[in-house]
Parts: sequence; C-alpha cells; structure tokens
Amino acid sequence: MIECNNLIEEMLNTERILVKSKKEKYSNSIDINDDDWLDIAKKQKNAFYNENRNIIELISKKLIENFPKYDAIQRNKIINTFSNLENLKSLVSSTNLNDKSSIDWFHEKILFFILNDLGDDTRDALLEIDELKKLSRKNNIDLKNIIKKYLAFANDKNKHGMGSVKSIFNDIISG
Amino acid sequence: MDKATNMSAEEWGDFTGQVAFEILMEIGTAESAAALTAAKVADRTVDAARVLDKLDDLGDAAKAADKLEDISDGTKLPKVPEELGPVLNKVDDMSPGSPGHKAWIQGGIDRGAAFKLTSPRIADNLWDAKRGAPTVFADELAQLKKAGYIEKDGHMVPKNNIKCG
Repeated sequence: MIECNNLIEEMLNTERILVKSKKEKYSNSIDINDDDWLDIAKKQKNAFYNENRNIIELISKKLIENFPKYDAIQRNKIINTFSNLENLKSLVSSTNLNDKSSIDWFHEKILFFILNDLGDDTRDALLEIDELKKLSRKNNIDLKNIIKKYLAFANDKNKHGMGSVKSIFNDIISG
Repeated sequence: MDKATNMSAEEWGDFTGQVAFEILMEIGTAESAAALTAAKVADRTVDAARVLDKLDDLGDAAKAADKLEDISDGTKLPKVPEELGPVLNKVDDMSPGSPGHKAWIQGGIDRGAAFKLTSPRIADNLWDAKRGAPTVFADELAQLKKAGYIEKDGHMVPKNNIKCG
C-alpha cells in the first residue's frame, strides 16, 4: 500500500505534467461559431488524453488500489486533493479495464465517481451516474450492491446545491 | 503551507479553475442577457507557472494534519475557503436533458433573448472525456446554435438580430 501523503504527491506530480502539456498544445479557445466546434473540442480533449495516457493510467491504477484501503481522514484528503486537480479529475475516470460488462469495471467506476466528488458540474455527474445505471441494467449488474459497499466513502458535502455524492447514492439505493 | 493558508479565495479560484454556476433569470428588457449556466469563478487559462506554484501549496495543505476541519459525518477535510466550491443555480429541475431544462433554454430562444456565456469555450468545458460525450454546457450551446444563435462578444444571440452598420 502506498502511504497516503506519497500518493498525494504522485497526484500532484501528475497534475504538474498535465498542466505543462495542456499549456503547450491544448488550451486554445474554441470558436463555437465554427461548424465543427464540438468535433474540435472532442479531438483536442482526446489528443490531450492520449498524449498523457500512460501517466493517467498509472495514477488511476494506484488510486483504485489504495483509496479503499485508507481510513476516513485519508480518503477525504485524497478526495479533496483530487477535486483541486483540474486536469487530473477531468481525465481520470475510467478504469484501465475495457470490459464494460464486468463487475470489476463497475466497482472502479463507482470508486472514481466518489473520487471525482461531482466534479465541476453536478449535472454532468448526474448524467454519468445515469449512464452507469442503464449500463448496469443492461449487463445484469447489481449497481445498488456496489454502491452500498462504497457508500461510506462518499462525500456528504452538497457542493453545488444539487445534492452530494452520498445523497445521489442514497437515492439510487432507495429507488 | 503558510502561503496556502493565506491564499485568498480568488487565488484558490485561479488555481482550481473550478466552475461556479449561476442563473440570472430574465431581467425584463430586450437587451437584458439571460445567463446560460456555467459561469467561471476563474478563467481556466491561467498562467501555468502560477498553477504549478499553487500545486506546491496544495500539496503542503492537503497533507498537513493540522489543516483539517469538521464535516458533517465527523471526518476531517483540509481547510478550503468557502468560495472555492461551485455555487450552483437554485432552479429545481435543471437536470440535463430534462424537459424543464430544455424548456428553460427554449423560453429564452422564443423571446429572442441573449444568453451570456460566462464559461470559457475550451475543450474541458465542452467535451466530457469520462462519458465520451458533450458536456451539459455544450448541449446548451448546441440547442442555441440549432435555433439559429451565434456567439458574439461573449453572448449567444439570435443571428437574425445582428444589425450591421
């Protein structure tokens, strides 16, 4: 197990690399009057991810392996740090697993959802969890059980006025 | 660590680039701008060197055991200024893609209202890499563009209302 503060340092180091990478190539403003504005945004974001894929996947793996092993204070340190790392949190969401029908994939997605702590826009987080619900039903995965397992890890802070991760999870469990 | 402790909310905002949200509902005149949604506390395109400096500060603060504050469940969090967190709109039914949300945008379109864009139009705000899909903000822009709006001086305005000369 990686000591919590060491993992925080690794997160910060990854963010430093991402900040430099973005400044060099991926911080251009997009002209939304352009017919291809959304495609340009998609390509830019994907290129940014692909260029840094190795370090993103590495820190993702470490987060998934270690976060559940920490105590409550350590977990909150990780969540709070993660929420301040703009680039990392916009890219680390996903799992290195490719099989979206596997139960392990759902475990990792829920853990990343907790880590992301609603991100910058609760509405995007709600979309993400809604898609997970649909995908779990399609693959006969009991998402409620997975959420129950990690419910204690979820932040109860209503960051944007539309509920907390914990309240979203409770709604799913009781729904 | 001292630097982190003494950073102003604005500096934290600069560093985090977090999004705050606001809804400025219709003000009442044709010239009034109804805000779209995502208003930035700080521009994400801040100087990278400053961001890197702030990362050092954050590292100190995040790791320090004496910078914790109580949260509701009794666990502790590193102390962060209140202004850091996004402040979302208070509109009840703004869930993305919901009839209420689309209708709210459509209401502005029907009136020919201008929508103030308070988020930078950068890839981070437009494409959600996690879902591999447009963000809600991008969906809103797409709805406006489909209705014939264009971006002008930081606002989405009906194309037909642009007067030349």
